[in-house]
Amino acid sequence: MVPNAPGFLAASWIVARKDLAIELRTRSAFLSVVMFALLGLVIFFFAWDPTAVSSLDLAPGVLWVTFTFAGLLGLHRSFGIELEDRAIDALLVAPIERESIYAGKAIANAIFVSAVLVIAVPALALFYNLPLGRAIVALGVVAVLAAIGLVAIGTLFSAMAVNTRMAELLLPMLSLPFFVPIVLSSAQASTRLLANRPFGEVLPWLKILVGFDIVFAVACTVAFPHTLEE
Amino acid sequence: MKLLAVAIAAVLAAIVRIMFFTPIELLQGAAQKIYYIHVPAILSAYLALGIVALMSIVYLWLHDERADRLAESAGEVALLFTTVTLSTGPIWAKPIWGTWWTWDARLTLTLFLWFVTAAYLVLRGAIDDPIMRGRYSAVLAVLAVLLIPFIHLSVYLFRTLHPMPIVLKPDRPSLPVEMLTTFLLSLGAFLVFCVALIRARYRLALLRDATAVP
Amino acid sequence: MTPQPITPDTTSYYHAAYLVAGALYLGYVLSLWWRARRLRK
Repeated sequence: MVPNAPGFLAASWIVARKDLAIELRTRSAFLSVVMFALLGLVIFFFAWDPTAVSSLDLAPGVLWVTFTFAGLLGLHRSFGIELEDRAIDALLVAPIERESIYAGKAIANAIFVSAVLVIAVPALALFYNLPLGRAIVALGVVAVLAAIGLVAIGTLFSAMAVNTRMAELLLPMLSLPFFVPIVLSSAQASTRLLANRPFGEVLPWLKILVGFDIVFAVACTVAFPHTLEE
Repeated sequence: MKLLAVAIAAVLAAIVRIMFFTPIELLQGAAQKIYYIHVPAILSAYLALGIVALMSIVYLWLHDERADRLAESAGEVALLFTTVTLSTGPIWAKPIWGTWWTWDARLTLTLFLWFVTAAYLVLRGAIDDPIMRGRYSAVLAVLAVLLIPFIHLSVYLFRTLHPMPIVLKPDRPSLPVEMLTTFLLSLGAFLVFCVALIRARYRLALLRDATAVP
Repeated sequence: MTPQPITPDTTSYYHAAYLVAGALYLGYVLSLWWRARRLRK
């Protein structure tokens, strides 16, 4: 064991900081994803018949679908940046556990996605005339849980997809089946929260989200080293 | 090759029995006979998918390329049987339930299995290096196994809390002996057919790996 | 007298399903044969 090598959490945070530093320097990916998310919210608005579906019913679904696809765009970058000059080799040679590469990138992705949500959720409340305070609590809390699941799955699949021929197509194809329980549970939970339904109606969905997050955060962390070369 | 011939013969024999030696069910009419190929198809798909999952775990553990080859073969055959299930199902549902599709838990899960199996095969097709291909698809398969309970749970919860269109479903009648025999014979024939196809596909994979440019 | 159910005529669905299934299975077996042929060349 290399003396003074960082432990798992410290190493993860170093990896995360590296990715975030790269992103902060250029900000291009962040702005693109935010634009995409906002445009998504707007397009859904124009596809909506307000006499058929109420805003409170529609808005959460719009958010989660948009969030999912925007998230995929951002996730694709996560390992994409390592492709140039095989930068990933530097990470692999470093005296850190392989799992912390995954955890670090997942943390960076989570921060990235959360930053997008900080803009998207108030925008949603604005465009769809939602009560702002309630919306932020309802959607924000659920968003944190959804983001964890999204990022856990997406970071792992991004690591895999980036090494294949059709990375941009493959990442959604792999990830979307896994996102369905997240989107479903998030939409159901946040619709009920927005409508001020009793918490007992919301709880089962939150439990599914939490269970999903725990299972897949662990499973993806364990699976990650298998996706790296020996 | 002989196993495949035997399997095809068994399937044809089962079809003959279904068509000419099995009575027509009273409430559903001739369409009930779709049941004799629809249910064996999904059960064979489960067998094939079970092999994919098991072989994926074995491959991650032992790195034996034979496990990966078997997973690949079973995966393709699983997609075939799942496609048959999702094709024959709606054709049965339309006259019996009055609708081509509903989002009940079982149909939704079967649709999911189709998507995930397709994703598995597309992933394999997008990677040239056999070791990377084996590892990545094995990881996907294991994660997919973990996903299934979540799909099932969330869809079940979704359905029980959402008003769904009322479909007139016939109660599952206990099959009279002749129909049960036909069903079991058909099931046996299709399971043998499934195994034979996996074996044939495995030999194709062996041929491909043997002739591959290193 | 209780009305007897009339067995509906669902024969066309029955045939359609078998044809579709048969086509899928046959198509797959043929694809195996054809891919093997291409590899052997």
